[in-house]
Amino acid sequence: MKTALSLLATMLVATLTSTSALATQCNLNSQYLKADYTITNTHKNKQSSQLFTLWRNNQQVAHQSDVTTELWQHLANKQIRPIRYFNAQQRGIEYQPSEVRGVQNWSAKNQLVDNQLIEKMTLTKTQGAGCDEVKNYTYQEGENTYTLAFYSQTQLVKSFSVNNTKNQAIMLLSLNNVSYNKQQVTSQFAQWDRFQTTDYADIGDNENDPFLAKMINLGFIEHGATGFYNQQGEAIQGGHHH
Amino acid sequence: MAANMKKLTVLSLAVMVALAGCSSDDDKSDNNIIAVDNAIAVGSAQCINGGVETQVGVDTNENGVLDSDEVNSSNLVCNAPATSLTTEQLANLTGNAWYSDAQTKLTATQQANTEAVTESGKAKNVILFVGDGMGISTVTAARILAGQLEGGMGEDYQLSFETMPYSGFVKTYNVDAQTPDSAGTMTAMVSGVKTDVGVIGVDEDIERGVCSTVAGNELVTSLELAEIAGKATGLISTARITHATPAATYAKSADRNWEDNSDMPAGSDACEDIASQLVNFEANLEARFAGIDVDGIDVVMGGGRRHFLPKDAAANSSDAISAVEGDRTDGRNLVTEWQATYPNGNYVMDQAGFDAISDDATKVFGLFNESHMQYEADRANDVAGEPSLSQMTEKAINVLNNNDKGFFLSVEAGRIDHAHHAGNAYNALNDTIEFAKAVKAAMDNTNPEETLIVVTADHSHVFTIAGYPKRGNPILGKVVAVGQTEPSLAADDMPYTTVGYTNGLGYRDLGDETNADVSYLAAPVTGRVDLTNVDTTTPGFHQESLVPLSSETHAGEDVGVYAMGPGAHLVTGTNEQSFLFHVMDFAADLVKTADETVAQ
Repeated sequence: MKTALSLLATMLVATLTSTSALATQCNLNSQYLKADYTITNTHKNKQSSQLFTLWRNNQQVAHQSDVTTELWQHLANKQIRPIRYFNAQQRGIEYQPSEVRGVQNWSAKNQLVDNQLIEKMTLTKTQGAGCDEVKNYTYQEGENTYTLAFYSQTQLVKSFSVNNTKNQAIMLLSLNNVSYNKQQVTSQFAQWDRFQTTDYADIGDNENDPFLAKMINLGFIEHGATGFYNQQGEAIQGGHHH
Repeated sequence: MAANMKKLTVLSLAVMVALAGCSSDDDKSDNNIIAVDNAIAVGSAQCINGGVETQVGVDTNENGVLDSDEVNSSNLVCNAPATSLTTEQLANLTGNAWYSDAQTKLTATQQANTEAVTESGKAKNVILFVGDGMGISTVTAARILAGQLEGGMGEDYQLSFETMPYSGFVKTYNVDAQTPDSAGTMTAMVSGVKTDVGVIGVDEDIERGVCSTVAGNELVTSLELAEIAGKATGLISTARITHATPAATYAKSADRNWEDNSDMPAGSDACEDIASQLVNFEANLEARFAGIDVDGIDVVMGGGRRHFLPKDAAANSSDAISAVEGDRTDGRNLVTEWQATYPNGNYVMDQAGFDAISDDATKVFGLFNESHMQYEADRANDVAGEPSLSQMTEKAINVLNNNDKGFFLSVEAGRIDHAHHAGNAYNALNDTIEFAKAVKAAMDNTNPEETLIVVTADHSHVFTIAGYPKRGNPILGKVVAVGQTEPSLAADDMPYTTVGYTNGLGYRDLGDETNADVSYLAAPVTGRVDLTNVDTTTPGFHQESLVPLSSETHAGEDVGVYAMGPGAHLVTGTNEQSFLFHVMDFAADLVKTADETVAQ
């Protein structure tokens, strides 16, 4: 699930054009929200789906899946600092911003679709008004066709798909439910904050900790790239790889 | 007979009568007696080292030459074996820079031995430098990189501490571990007692992680002894100041990870977390030893603010990288507690605050990062700015020098270890170079006649320098053989780097062009990677490794130790790590002076 989102985040690029001169007022505070999605992958005749939740807590964003939660903190100097939580073990690994090199794009984390991609897309239709205003975009690049329906006022993806005609593969991200309950959001972030965390730099000095020793010896932090784990924190084979 | 040289002497008859033993002045009165010296070449059968054969006879036919039938006697004198070579014969040696440089070094070493202060108690000040994870291969590679950064070939460069007159080896194993960790090794260095892996300031009778086993097993450290003796004391690290190496100087803990109260398991209420022990150091020490009156650690600088602050966003610092910077769940703010204990002290958390510290300051508490301080190469990216290790060292010495009784200072480069764990030689070597600058700052700002400086590492890493690169080949580059301009190829027809790791994450190229997610999420890379088009000298390049682990590991071989100043002559040979405490104690009479202080 995380992989699919990474695909979105890394493939999409552009700054959101100034929306809605025509839109009416929307009073929802979209800095605090919980958005439940389903990610559906279709390859030829095979289809699989996973649940995924996007959390926003002001300058923090969490991408929650069954086994892990990636939490991203937007720092004052615009760097992004990630923490990876292992839900069942209630443990976390904290990374320094410097340990995540390269382009750091907050919009890809905060709204799942990079503003730079949206900027490249063609606006085909605008529906609704106020908080319900949805802008529809398309974009063709090589064998991939991108389709986006975007709540412009809350900067939230309603649906997003990538259709690769050559590989007969379709990845679809669709919003199931969204709530703007700030108390629920802050409570959830507080719960994650109570998890025992370890600096990424300190893992190598903690071979006596069974959880971290497994990370050292099996390397499952990095296998987390797939986003698919069993309850023991081990990478499950067969996930969607890039 | 070989006769390369002849020396013919015509003697007067009167003289030669006596020489020849003639009895009559009338005989051969008109004939001359001739003596001839024939030089014998080196290597001849008669004289292997050459010599002279003197022949004497009467020139009966008066032809002025001593013919063979005129020789009456001969005397052979062989040369003694040669014991030295001439200046001309030595010209190829003495004119060679390697030779003359070594002669200069020899003279300096002799001089150092002559001037060595071998009497105990002559070191007013003691500075212990620890490069965390700075094994010998790291020192060698850092030396080469430092030289190359200054435009040289590198191999002949000397890091500051490599100019010290004394050095030796240190066996690093812990009591229960062949390959050690920083907790056990630093405890050995500052307490003189080897102990178990993972425990701080306690002996091997401890059970790691069990609070109840601490009592009765606490050790006394060189920093504590210096404090009792009335000296100034200081502590610097680029890691969290509660991390294993710095913590071993002031804390007693059953687990290195008990850095604040939230890290401790249930049932550990009888034990004090490491951060709290730092702030309560003065009171705790006075409670342990009845009758002493100490004034607390004078200079503390490093990272690790999170362990001193409550879990409350209101306590966040200006460069916090977490939504809530503090980790403490007991509501205590140890920074404000420290400020209350030392109202005239200077608490600083950024470069500006550091720059404002006066050399006349009495107490300094610097916490420059929420967690570890930045790698030296990343320091410019810090939100609020951080001082370098060399800047902190110089500042600490200036402040500690205010005490007429001298000082004890411990300085750790804590992030060499972290860069190695990440399989990133660039940061490990650059932090080692900064570590050497910090040592240089100490050498430049102290009197060598009264200051013992010891430089060492707590343990090594599985970091290697391999292949046959030519002289001056970039140490972070690919192997280019002697006489070649293109990289050597391995049996798999791919180039390879000079430095690498036996285990760890392995190859990754995190240059600026690489997408953040890809680099962050990449799995350990097993096997070989084609580096043909990769610039392996960039900050983001991570070297290949053989065994895929998520974190590269420590290594078990010996590390080096270097020393100068009073007592430094004891730093020689191969030693148990606990020996280093005893060197410092001998040099500064720490135990003796502390005992005397307590007895007063």
